[in-house]
Amino acid sequence: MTTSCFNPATEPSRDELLRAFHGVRIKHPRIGQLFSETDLLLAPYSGADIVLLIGPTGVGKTTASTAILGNTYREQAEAMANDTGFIPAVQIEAPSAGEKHAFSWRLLYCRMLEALNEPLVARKLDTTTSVGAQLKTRTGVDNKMLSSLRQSVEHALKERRTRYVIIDEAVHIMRQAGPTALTVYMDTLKSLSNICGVTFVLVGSYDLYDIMSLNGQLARRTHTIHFTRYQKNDADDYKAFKKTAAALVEQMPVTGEIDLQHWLDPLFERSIGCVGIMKDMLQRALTLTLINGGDWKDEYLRRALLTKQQTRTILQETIKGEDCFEDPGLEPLAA
Amino acid sequence: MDLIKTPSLPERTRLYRLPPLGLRTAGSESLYSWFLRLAERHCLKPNDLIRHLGRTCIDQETGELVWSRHLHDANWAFTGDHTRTWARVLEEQTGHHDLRLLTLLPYATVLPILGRGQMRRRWCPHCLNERKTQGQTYTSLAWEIGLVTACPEHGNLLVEVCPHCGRGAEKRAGRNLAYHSPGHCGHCGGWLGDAEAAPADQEAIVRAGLVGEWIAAMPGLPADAKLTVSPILDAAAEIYANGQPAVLARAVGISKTTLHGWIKGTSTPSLSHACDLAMRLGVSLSDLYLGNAVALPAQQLLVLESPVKRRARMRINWPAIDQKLQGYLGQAEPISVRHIAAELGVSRRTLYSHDEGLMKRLAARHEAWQLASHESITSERLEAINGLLDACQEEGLVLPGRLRKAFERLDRAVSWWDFNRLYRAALSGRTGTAVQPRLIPTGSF
Repeated sequence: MTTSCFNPATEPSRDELLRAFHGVRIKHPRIGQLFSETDLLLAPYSGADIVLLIGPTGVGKTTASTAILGNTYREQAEAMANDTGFIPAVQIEAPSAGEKHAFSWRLLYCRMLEALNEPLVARKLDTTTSVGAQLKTRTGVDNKMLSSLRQSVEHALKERRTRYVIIDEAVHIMRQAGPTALTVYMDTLKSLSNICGVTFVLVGSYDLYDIMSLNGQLARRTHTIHFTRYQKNDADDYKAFKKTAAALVEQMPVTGEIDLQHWLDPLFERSIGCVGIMKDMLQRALTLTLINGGDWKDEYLRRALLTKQQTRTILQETIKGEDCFEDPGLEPLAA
Repeated sequence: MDLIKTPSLPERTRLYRLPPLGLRTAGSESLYSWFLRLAERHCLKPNDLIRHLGRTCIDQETGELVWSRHLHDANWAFTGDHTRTWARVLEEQTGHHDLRLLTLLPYATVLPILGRGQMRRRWCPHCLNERKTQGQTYTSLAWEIGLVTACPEHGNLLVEVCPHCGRGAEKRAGRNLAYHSPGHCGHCGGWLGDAEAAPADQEAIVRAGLVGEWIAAMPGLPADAKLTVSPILDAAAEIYANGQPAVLARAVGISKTTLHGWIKGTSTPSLSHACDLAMRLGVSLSDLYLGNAVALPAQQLLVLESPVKRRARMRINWPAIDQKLQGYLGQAEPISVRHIAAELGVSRRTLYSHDEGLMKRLAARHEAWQLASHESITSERLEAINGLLDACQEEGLVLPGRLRKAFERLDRAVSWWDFNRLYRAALSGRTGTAVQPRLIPTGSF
């Protein structure tokens, strides 16, 4: 049984409490395991131009990528103190611009430039290139030209000595492109990686795995990290999930006692072992609690749980995705 | 279990830490060239970047926004406040600590603040081409110093005119410049390395070499170095001129008062004077500014001349001069005071000091005569134009261009402006109202 240490008399408003809990991120064991896999991100020209951080929905991929970024900043603290222009890594979210059948590279580049602390993003120019003895004319150049943004991104990544760029919600790139466009998009990232020695970490659900089947060149240069969920039949996993749930409940600003032992199995089952889904359910329960005065009732958590149908949909999608990551083995491929 | 905090990036510099090129060499890059490369690297126009910095950067010394005058209006090579402020701001914004070395600021205490350096862009085409081959196009600090007119490495004069458009690639052309890239003409974007350079004379090469050597040694200047020319000049006077600064002053071609000021430290030589001194004393500019007396060569390079005897005071025969001046007063055609002074061999100032009243009368007489002559000529010309107009009216056609041609044949060459004025006056006298004559270009006839 877990008891919250929440005292409503000294706490701020409801919205602030909800926002505070929404921002809570727990460094659970699965995230710790990821750190060892991300060493190749910091190595320039590591052979992995694109790293896919793939996992089921709600498993905590964004949290994990944030943790990786924080870890990098801590590891590179000394180098960053010595060189005040050094930015080892940045994290951005791929925008879903709403344009039909086209991903907005312009928006992505702008976000990348802003993350790289670049001034005057709106006034970027395609810098002059020599044509014979004369400079190419600049007259009539559109400031918002994609080439000028691209060139600026290349310069920024090189000058800031950036090692990797995390692109969260990378499925937005895929969903706004047909198969041909997707190959072009991935080639764009690959070329940027080649030129600047940067690794792109694409964070997303199992849909991202389709990138591997686009062409051999991409498959060769792409490294995948599978961010798995906790399995109920694994004792260590179950224990880790329980600890994570306890840590989250401890952060919930409610009065009264939360019988976690009673709710652990339903939480595991309805979240299919994904910490992010569990946290969403706890967030909803917290909202219901705070709306009703802040006193915890089991009823709120029961109402916050996902329905069986919802769980089934997520599970089916997850199992289908997990099949792609079956142990590859070392047996020769069939002809 | 630990919580994950949202990682916050420590405060980063806004601008890239672009390394300056050619540091510790005679061709060390200038701050101006470095800034152009920085803007290009950020894919921005230099003026956009400088205006942005002007709007956002607070000068730590004054606590105010930095003054963002147009980039090309100022010289960033010399030691003025403008250079100092921008070097400081750019160091803060990029995390560099050595941008002052791209200017003459390390020697600010011994260089006059008023020195503005060379405002025109000049370059050595050979150096530019070599740098382009190495993939490092930049312009040198030495080229922005007016004193430097040659390239010590290639022995040619620096070039000022673009080989493609024939225009000088002036720095002060300001916002009219279309291109901002080191090594390219600001007007047409042409590659300045295509220019042909004439060979330079030996003195210009030696002078440029001296400045180049000085610039190359600048990074090695200790931060706490005491810069003064006094000890070395004092030692030179002692060694070469038996302790007589006046003799040394004569040898180096300056007044003894000036040299005295330099030795006492009440004034400092300009870069041009310092260069002359260094050449004549046979020391480097660095040694001169550091007052390094040990660097003086054992063998004297100076040629000391014996003092010239003072010129005898000129005696003026005033009674004779007075008589001549009275004679000028009676002349029918007066001459100017300038001519009088020239004829008598006495300066105008002396003549006025001697008899101011008489000289003023002579001057007034000449002025009145000049005015009368002018009026007389004007009336003669008006009369001539009236005569020509009469003739034209008889023909029933007045063509001003043809009239002017005829007038020139009668009188003498007259400018369009003068003819227009006379023609207008003549027409006005005829009709009684102001007439706007339409002058037809000569080419129409």
